[in-house]
Amino acid sequence: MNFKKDVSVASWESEKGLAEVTVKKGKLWCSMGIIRSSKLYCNIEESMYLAGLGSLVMLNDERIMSNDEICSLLLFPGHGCSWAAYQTFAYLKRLGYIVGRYDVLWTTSRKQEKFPSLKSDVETDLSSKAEELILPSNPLESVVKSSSREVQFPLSDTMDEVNCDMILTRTGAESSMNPSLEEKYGNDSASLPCDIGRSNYSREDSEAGLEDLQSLSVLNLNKDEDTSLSVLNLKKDEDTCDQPMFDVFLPNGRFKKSVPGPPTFRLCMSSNHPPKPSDIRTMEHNCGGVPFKYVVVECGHISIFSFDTVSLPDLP
Amino acid sequence: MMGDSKERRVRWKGRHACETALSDPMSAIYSAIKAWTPPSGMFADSAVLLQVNSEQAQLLNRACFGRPYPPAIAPPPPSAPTYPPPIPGFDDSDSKEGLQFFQLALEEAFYLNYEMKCVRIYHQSHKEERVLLSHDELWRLMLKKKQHFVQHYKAYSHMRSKRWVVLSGIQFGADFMAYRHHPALVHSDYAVLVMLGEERQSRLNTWTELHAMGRLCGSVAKTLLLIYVKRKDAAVDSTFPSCLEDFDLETVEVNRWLPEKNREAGETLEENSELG
Repeated sequence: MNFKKDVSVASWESEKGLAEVTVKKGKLWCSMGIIRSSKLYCNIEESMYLAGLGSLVMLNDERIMSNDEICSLLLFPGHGCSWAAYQTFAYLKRLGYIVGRYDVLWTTSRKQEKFPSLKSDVETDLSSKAEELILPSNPLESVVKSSSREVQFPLSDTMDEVNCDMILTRTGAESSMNPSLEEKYGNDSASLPCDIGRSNYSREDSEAGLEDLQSLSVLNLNKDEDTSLSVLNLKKDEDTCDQPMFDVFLPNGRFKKSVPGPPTFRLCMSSNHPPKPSDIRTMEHNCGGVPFKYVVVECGHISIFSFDTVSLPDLP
Repeated sequence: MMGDSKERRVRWKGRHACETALSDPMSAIYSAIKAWTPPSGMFADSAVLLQVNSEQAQLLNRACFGRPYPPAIAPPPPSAPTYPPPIPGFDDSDSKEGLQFFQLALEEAFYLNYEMKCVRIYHQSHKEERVLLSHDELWRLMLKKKQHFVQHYKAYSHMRSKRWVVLSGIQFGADFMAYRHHPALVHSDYAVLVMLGEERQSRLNTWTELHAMGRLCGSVAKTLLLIYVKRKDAAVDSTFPSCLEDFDLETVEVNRWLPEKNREAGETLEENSELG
């Protein structure tokens, strides 16, 4: 193991699918991890990347995890990442880019300005919590966030998927509960099924009734807990990719989680085929004005493509 | 026209590369791999991650199966090619148990598992549970994850069983690149495209595309090799790897013949295939 001067420590929380950073060292946390209820969490790809660098020690039930164990968590689809996505993440991180999961707030701290157009039904649902679920004031980001859609439960349980016990919300603006969920589960967060990993979805699974699943947007109904954690986006069919995986920002020593601004671009994991024009239009809509690119990972070789509709200029 | 792959001048790198290759034939390296204690790997959808010690990493490196992960920045190539080449970033003193990850492509992993029977591959099916995959289970998982895996694997294993080194061709716009030995010692002979059956298909369906492939191969000094993988029977059950017996292969070299360069007797074929 590399012994570095600044080694942070994080504790894996299985129900959340995130690691809570209990000892925070070094400046890297300015642009990694998300803040919820004044706690710092990192997702599985951040954990694996930092552990690989020797900057983070991961604990599970007080026991230090080996790289092999962390990798097992990464490969488990319920944590929303895949090997291809991880390679992309690590590649961009090594080059200095700031990479977060698509549409996941970096922080829900009170310091953020209140987003003026919070929906009134959200405020009703969340009552006193609405004040704390504050969005960045950047209107572009608000456009993006409002494009996230509802998910329907329950989800089927196959060899390739996981059932978690906790439902986590994406953003304050989108926290109105899916009515069918509310009907079925009421307000008890503990009984709610959770997230599905994106990478192991097979076509049969999607045909088995998961066609409705689009983005993952779920509500933490545990009113005692002031947390709104985001989970991964869900891809319903491996042949189409209609949602990005990552938000990427240019290297920036002054990056602030409270005011990150819109990402430089969004990155979509590609499927088996290059995108058709209809796929590109769907993605344009989903990305809400933020440029997007597709990444292809083959045998460790990572290529990033953009497909831009252009209008040829008339020439003299 | 059927014939042996035409004897062209093999482009070895460096004066002694040919002797080095002959003194360390692939067949001997394969035998050493088959004799090792099988390492364990994890199925990762688009790849298999193997945990290997330094000795196993060296063997995989010499036989060109996979690459270490994470990749380190490769040092500048030495003036004289060294063999076996060092594995960039691989340093077992850093790792607790002397093990590091090696990333294998699906075809490579299946070949090591099914043909050489020298690796064990697991699948993280549930949070706490890791399942050892049988050949059939691994086959089915790979079929699910990669389109046309059957045909690609058939072509891959055909070349590997002839001790050609077969690597991903994505950087060259091909399915595979085929080398006579380690890329440190020799330039690649072929850029390989796997063709699905004999009928008209979606790739290389027009002369424009053939020109494009030819242009690409010419600019990297490789010959285009088409491997047609055909079903012997209309109905083939691909659920089991034994279905590989039900496919036939035909390898076709595509060369561009330039009349301008062939007017004198004794012109070599290699010059014929330059596209200029």
